Amino acid sequence: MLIAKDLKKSFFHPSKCDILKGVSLTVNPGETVAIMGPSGVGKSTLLHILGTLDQPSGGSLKIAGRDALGDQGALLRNQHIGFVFQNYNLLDEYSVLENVLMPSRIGRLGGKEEEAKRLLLEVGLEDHLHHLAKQLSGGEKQRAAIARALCNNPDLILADEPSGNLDDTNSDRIHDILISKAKSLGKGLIIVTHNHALAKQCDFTYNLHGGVLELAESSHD
Amino acid sequence: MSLIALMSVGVISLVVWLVLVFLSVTDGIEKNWLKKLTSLNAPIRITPTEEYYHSYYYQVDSISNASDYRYKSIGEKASALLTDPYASDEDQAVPRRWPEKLSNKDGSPKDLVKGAFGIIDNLQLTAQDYEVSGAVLKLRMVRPQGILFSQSQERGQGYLTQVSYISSFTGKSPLLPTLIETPRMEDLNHLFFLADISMNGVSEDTPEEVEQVSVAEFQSRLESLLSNMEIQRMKMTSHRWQALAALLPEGEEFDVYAPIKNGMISQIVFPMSPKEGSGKLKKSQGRLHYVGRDGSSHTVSFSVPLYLEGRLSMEATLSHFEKKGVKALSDFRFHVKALLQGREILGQVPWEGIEVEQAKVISHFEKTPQVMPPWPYFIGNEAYLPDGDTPAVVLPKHFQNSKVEMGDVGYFSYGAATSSSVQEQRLPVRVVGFYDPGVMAIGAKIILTQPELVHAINAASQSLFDPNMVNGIQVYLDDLGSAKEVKEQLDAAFQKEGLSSYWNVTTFHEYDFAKDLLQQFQSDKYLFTLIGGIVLIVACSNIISLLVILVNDKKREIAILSAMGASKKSIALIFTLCGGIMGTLSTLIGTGAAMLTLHNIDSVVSFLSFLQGHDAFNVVFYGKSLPNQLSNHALIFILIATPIISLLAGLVPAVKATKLHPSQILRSE
Repeated sequence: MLIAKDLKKSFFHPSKCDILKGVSLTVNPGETVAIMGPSGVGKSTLLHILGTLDQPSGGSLKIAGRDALGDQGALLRNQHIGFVFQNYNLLDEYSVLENVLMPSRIGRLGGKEEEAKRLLLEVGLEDHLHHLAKQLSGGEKQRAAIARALCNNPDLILADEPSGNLDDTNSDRIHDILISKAKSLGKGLIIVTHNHALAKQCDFTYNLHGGVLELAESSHD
Repeated sequence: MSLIALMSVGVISLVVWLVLVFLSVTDGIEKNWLKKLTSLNAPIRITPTEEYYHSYYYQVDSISNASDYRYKSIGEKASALLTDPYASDEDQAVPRRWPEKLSNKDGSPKDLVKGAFGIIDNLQLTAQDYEVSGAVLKLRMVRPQGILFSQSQERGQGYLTQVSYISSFTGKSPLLPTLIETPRMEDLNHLFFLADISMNGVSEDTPEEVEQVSVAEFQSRLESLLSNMEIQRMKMTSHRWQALAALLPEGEEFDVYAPIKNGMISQIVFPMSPKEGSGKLKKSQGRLHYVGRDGSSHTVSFSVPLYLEGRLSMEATLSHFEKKGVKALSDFRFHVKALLQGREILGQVPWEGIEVEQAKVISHFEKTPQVMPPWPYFIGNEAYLPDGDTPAVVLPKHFQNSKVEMGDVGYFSYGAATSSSVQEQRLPVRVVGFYDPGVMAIGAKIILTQPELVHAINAASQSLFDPNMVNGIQVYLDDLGSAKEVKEQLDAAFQKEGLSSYWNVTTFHEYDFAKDLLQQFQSDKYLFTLIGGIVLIVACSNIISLLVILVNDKKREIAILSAMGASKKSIALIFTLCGGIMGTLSTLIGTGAAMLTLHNIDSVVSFLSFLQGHDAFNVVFYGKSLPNQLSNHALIFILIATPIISLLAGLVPAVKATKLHPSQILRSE
């Protein structure tokens, strides 16, 4: 589903810095992957490259069998990738339901309303459908963001420290939802996190260190 | 943000409004000028060529007894009974150098003028022959010379001289009714004033005493006037009006000032509105009684002058009169009604010390009127000059600035060539009206008069003018735009009939006196549109600043949409459309406002005039009111230019939005 080979990323300002020196990663449907590492090591950069939000300096990336580094990034993001960000990134002026429906509207996919409501019911936001996103609490916002990420039925969910801004109770709930949804729906899940407990729940845990991804733990072992 | 958007839409709407109103008004003015230009000079002229003047057909009149050995004008040729008036038994021999006679296929003589008119008729065009000449116009202006506060009607006279072109009055011109001015009230009053003044001696050099006409002539002049107008309001000519005594209601008190000298009231002055004066005046049993504030009481003799502080304006209806009984204006009676000091006064007064303030003038008739008005009139669509012993002239309206009024008389002076010298000839004329010559430099000097008069002057002073300039046929069109097409049809028809070498067909685009003006109109139009476009671009650049701010403000939202799969193209489209929508909205608002403004243009002009303290637009150039039609040219320009410029303005922020890096933005958030 996702095959990254030898991904490299360098920044040239203020001076040249190779943040990724050849990262390779494969994620199959239903697999959950945690990427850990100290702050500033390039975890989020890697995640954004894997999600086609950023371009690598070198290497190759295939998502759902298609080359993800060409000009089809937007289409891939819309149809095959769902994002969950640390700071939720909902559109504050829209209702929760509209936020969840936004990817399908962008992809001009009709008849998704029932699906969106079902997802919101599953994340426990059935009473907040028509509330503006800005009126929700942090935990609620992240649950709405997960519903949004799932609405277009993507193959891959990319989560960038999804519980970074949440208390333990909400964090656990978010982790449970993410892992269980990925497993039950057969989605690939890549989570960038500092949370070891969450990493333990994943099938694979990688450490990003010195611009290279190292497998730290595997449930298959 | 929405406030800035609203301001941007407001600014563009304002510019759209301004450009539309400006272009519409200038376009309308240009059309009016063009209309005036072509109504006086017709959009198409057919003029004889040199070959026509050298032809046997033209020259033969000069050796024919039947033509009085005189060249004929086109008008005379058109109505002549004989195409070839030459009779070999009584006229001199035809000179050898003359060209051959022209004949039709059947051997009959070829008539160049009737042939031309035949072609015009076949094409169902309206046409009329015209002639232009030149002379010096000298007008004698008899004016009342009243002394302030007196009712005496002394008459003085002044003179006005102007070198002028004289053109035949072409009554068939369909636009003439819009050019001829309706008589003004001062014209009507002047006609009444002149009703008993004789034209005798008008062509003399030494000023004669003003003579009076016979009673019968006076009566017929008044009949001509009164049969073709309805007097609605009269006003006092000076502050003194003795007839006021008859109008004061019995028993009512009026505030007055009454100076008393040697125990006698010397005059009574009425304020127009109730105002504390020196006492009160009351009419009782037909007599006026004055009671001063000091308690003194006087009976006012009828000889005491009555004055008003202002000039009373009153509703007036002319009482029935017998024509034969009228020997002076004062023999007429009016039923009048007015307000003095807030109270109604009414009654019957003679025509003394009052003049016409408002009247309905009749100049359009279905059929020939029984009594002709003394001004130009219309029967159906055709215009006519009033008949009379003295030929009528219609002057360009700027003569009004020199205080020329209808009814003034004078003469045309021109040189008549004899075998040994040039002698001055004088033809008396009478001013019967004014017309609007438009903006042509030459227009202000053209006097319209009866064709016979023009031809008489031309015939006498023929050598002074280029024959091509002075005589021709004017063709009138409803649609100026079809002028070139009609010219082609005429050319083809003349060619077919073998007349093309005798006639030149020209459209108004080629008239010498109009060419420069038309070119100027065209470049003005381009210039104004260019200026409008530049102002529009400046206004629409607002959209760029607004949307660039919007892009900066909505960076996070743009990045979120991008993360959810919105393509760069669709993000760019959002901002481009924003620009387009703002432009379209502004166009609609501005166009609506422009239509509203044009609909009420007169009120706007009055307001501008009020602000400036004088007329904002000179009547001489722009007419009585500005054009109020939305110009198609301007509308199309605005409807296309504004949305396009706005759309282009929207492109700049749209490109900026696509250059954003969602990854960086989402991380920094």
